[in-house]
Amino acid sequence: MNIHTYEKFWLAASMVLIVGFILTITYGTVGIGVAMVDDSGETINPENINDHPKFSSPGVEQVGENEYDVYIQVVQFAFLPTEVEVPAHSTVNIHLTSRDVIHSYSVVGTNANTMVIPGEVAEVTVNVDEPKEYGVICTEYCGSGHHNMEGKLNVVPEEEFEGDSQ
Amino acid sequence: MSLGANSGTYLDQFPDEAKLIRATFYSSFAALFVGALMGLLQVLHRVDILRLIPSEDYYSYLTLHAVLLVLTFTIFFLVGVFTWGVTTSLDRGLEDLRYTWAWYGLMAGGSLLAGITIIGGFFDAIPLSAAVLYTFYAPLQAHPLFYVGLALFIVGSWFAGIDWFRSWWAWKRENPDERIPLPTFMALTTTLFWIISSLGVAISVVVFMIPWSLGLIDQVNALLTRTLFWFFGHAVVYFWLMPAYMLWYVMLPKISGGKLFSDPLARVVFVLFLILSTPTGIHHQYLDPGIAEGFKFIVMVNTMFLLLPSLLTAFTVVASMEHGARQRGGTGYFGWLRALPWRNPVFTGMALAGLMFAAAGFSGMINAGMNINYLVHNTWWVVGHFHLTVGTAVALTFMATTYWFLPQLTGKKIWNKSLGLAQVLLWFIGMTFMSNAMHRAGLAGIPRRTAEPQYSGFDFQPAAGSVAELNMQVVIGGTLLFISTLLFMLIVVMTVRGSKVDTLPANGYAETLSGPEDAPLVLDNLRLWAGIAIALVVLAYALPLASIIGRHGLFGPGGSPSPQFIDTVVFTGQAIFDSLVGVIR
Amino acid sequence: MRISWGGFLVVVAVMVPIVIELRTVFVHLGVEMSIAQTGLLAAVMIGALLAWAVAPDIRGRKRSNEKSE
Repeated sequence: MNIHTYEKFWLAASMVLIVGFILTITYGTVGIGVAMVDDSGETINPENINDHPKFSSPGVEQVGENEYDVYIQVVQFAFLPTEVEVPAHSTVNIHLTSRDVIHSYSVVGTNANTMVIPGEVAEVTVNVDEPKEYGVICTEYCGSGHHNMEGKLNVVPEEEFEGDSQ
Repeated sequence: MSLGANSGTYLDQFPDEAKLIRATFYSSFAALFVGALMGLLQVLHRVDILRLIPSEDYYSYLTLHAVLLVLTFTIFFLVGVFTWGVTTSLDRGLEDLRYTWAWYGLMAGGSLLAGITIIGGFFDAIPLSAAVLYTFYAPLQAHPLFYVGLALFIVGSWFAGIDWFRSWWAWKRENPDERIPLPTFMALTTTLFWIISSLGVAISVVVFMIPWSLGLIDQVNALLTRTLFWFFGHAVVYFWLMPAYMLWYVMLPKISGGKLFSDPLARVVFVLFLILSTPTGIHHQYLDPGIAEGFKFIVMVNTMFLLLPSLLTAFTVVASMEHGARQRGGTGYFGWLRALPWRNPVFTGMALAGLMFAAAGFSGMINAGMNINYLVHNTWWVVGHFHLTVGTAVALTFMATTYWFLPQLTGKKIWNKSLGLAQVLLWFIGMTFMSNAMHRAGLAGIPRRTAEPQYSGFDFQPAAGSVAELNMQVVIGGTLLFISTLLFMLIVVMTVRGSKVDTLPANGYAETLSGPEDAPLVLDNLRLWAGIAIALVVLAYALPLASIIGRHGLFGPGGSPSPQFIDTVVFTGQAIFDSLVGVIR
Repeated sequence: MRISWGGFLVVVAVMVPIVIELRTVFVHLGVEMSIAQTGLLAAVMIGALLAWAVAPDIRGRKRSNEKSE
């Protein structure tokens, strides 16, 4: 097959570009440690969420020196609890599941973003820094009230944090 | 390539097929018009300039916009284009016109059925609705006729593909030693991956969605049906893109005044799409729980490699244009650009569509970048991206080439070529404004698929400009696009109403500098490539699907159906009643 | 005319994304531009193009745009 010289050069440059992109993403995964939402969360029956030991009383719970677990039920058309408060400079494991249809939990202005699928528990771990109030929205169409679905993730100074909020 | 004694327009050569292609094109344009109108209404609703209907019903606008534009408009047009390509390059009419009109009927009937159920969502009096969006994720549930309509439409398109295979088989019997002509090769490879990939959504719709919406089964596995959708959902974009690529490869060089740079490389590109387009679907599910990170990583690598055939296309298309420009007398490193036929809307539309596609490819790489995707998933960035790809690379190419096809199909001249040029320029400019604003809005976190992106607890913070400014830019862009659409409709209608002329160019497509005889024979071995495509799909999907089915079985739990075909008032009332009951308990 | 009217319109169309994106680039370099300023920049660029296209040929070189179509 007759390949023009310029085309060979272009092909080589394309491969370099593609491999470069792959390496960048790989660095994000293994270098910086940005993990993807995956299947390590448990499975759950959407109809029995209120039998689950953690989801039945959703909220914030301290599980380590600077580590907190948050359990959130996501429904048409709200996050329960709607406002979540966590202390600054901590690690927060957010566990989410849906009682009805597919939703998302998206912290506006950050990369904390996950789908919430009935039957699955989505787990994201975020490191929060300075005190700030973040808006949370559902970005996956979930029905006629979808645009009204919003919540808050409030990162408060450590002194102000009160413990379990439900 | 002129066709000797049979020279003349396509209408002269293949009058029956021309009639069929006119039908597919007119169906396509009808869908384009209604879909574009929905787009305008959506943009005005979102920014709160004009809300003609309650926000609860916005999602019917959105479903109609997407289904009409990315399924009806695109696929009707492309089956017409491929029919033209196959018959012209094989110099042979279709095998059985009754079979052909039957698939057209399936597609038309399916579209009407789906369209009517969606439109029913606007009217409380009509017990039909399908406000589930183009992705129809369970447990959101549409009226059963929506799913039936989609299934008929897709099956009709399969039969169209088989029609082109029938033509090829018949031609091969009479021409056993010849290479497959390039346009036919492109139609066949596209058909192969289309059938392979749409099997996923066909299974989801026929085995799960239809029985479920009829009440025959209780639940469906939400993650499973979602995954089956995306099995199809990425490859479908290539189903739309391949006819545009075909036109860039076989029509653009000729309009530029020259020849296609390389036939063999064109074949390589289409083979690459055949084998790689489906095993990338999970990149639409990077943020889904229930799918292991390893599968997501593999899919990311596949997707990055899918950039290759598009980069090769960029080279070949530009090289062919340069060749044409130099044939027309262009000189210099860049001066040859001036020698191109910019006054011809067929050329300019395709060239601008290709240019915009380059930008789209890079925003696509961001989407494909697994961990980067967190920042853009389900935001308006994604919408900005696909308005550049399907909305410009595909739609603008289709509109621009209509200015060449319509005379060939009707025997009439284009009513006003200058208006045609204005139309394609207006589309490009409108899309620039709109898509740029969408990308920037998405980076600020503004969501897609939302009737009222105005929230009370926080503000969006764009990096440059303000939300109000972004809104204004989107409205300007959307309005320009709608005006461009109206212009296109006007030109088509006035052309069709005109009278026939004798002065039209003959039907044909570009010759090549490096022809099929330079292409290794193995490229034409469709069975081999289809086999590899299937093997790669099995490799990419067997384990993830097995894992998903293992977690909850084939049928759930997926949660109770959330019917979007019950009157909104009734549904909201039901929800209020349930909460009250919950409080009392 | 150094460029056909069709070509001129196309160059103007291609300038639109360039000007819009330039504004975002400038923000990242610390320079903020209002809409009015952006519009002015676009007008200046188009004006320059127009001037180049119609300027008389001082050096007497043969430069005419090729016949199109």
